[in-house]
Amino acid sequence: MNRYQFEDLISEYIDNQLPLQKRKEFELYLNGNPDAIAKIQSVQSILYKIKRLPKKKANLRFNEKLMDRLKLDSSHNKRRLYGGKLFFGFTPINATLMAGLLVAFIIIIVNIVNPSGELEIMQKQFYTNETAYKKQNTENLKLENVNDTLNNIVNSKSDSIKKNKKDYSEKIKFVND
Amino acid sequence: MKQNSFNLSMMSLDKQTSQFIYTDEELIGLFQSGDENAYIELVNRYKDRLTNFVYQFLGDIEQAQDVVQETMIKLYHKKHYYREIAKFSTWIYTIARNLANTELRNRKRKKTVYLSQMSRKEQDYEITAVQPNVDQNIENEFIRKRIYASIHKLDEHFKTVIILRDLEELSYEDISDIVGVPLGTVKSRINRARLQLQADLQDLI
Repeated sequence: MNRYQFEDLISEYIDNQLPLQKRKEFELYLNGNPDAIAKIQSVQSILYKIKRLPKKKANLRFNEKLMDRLKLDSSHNKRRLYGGKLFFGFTPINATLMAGLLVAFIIIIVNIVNPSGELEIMQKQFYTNETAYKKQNTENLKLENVNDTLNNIVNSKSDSIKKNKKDYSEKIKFVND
Repeated sequence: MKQNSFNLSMMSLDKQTSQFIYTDEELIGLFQSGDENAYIELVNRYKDRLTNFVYQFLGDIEQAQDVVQETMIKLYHKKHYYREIAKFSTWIYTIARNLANTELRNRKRKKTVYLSQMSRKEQDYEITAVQPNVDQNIENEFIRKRIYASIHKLDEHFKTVIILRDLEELSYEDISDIVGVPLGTVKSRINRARLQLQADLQDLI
């Protein structure tokens, strides 16, 4: 072990963190080196002084103050989140939720209590069907009219053809007559 | 929050010596499931240790107490963030250390002198003046101030490990968890910090 290796291991030696083999090597180095022993003693002395430094303690009213701060903190957080406004004793988020639930509840109740709601739906369906039927009817009527006019035209034409034909029945006489 | 019961139980626990036999991890488990007495027990266990720890960073007892209170408030509100993978002590020390660092950064930015810091010096002076063995006290005070000054002169990462190891007496493993560096780095930092202190305080030995 050289001086640098020794210096690297001083704290681990003092804190008893060295594995057995390393510790033996370290102590072997110490045995033949009074400067190294002095160094170890010097570090140990400083550590002893540091450990004897007076420890600071929390104030006697620490818990009381902490409680006050916790209370203050929770009310401050509420105020920061909701701007300190309450609606009927509810925070804005809770008030919105409650209003939504109330509206949903009212709609459900109206649907349960008022059975005419269904009738209205059926009536609406009926009316929509009827108008569709009427539309269909008028279209059919139009088609029928068109057919009639076409038939009339055809009939009138055939009549005119018939009229245009010359009647030779009286003019023609058979021999035997 | 059950404010009234909480307040009452806190007062009673303040006065009597604690009879809890729970570990810190069991206590935080109880607190997570709603037992606020467990929170109070944790506060009582850690308030002095954390005050001393934070004081070493800030050098002002009033501010240190404020930071510890912040730490306890965080513990109250963020209790569900704790997972039993880590030791409770390392978790709470980490919170306190981060808050102390934030306070130090704020202080550097503002560069203010606090009234509490001024009054602390006055108090120190008054105490030494009324002691019977004046010379001894002055010498002790001088040594104490030299040691504090040497610790404060250390680099931030050396100072943290020295405070955690030699003032708070935490294990190397816990320090590694709190600081978030490997165990080997912690060992080397502790060693280098101690050697620096030894060199700086040579004349005290």
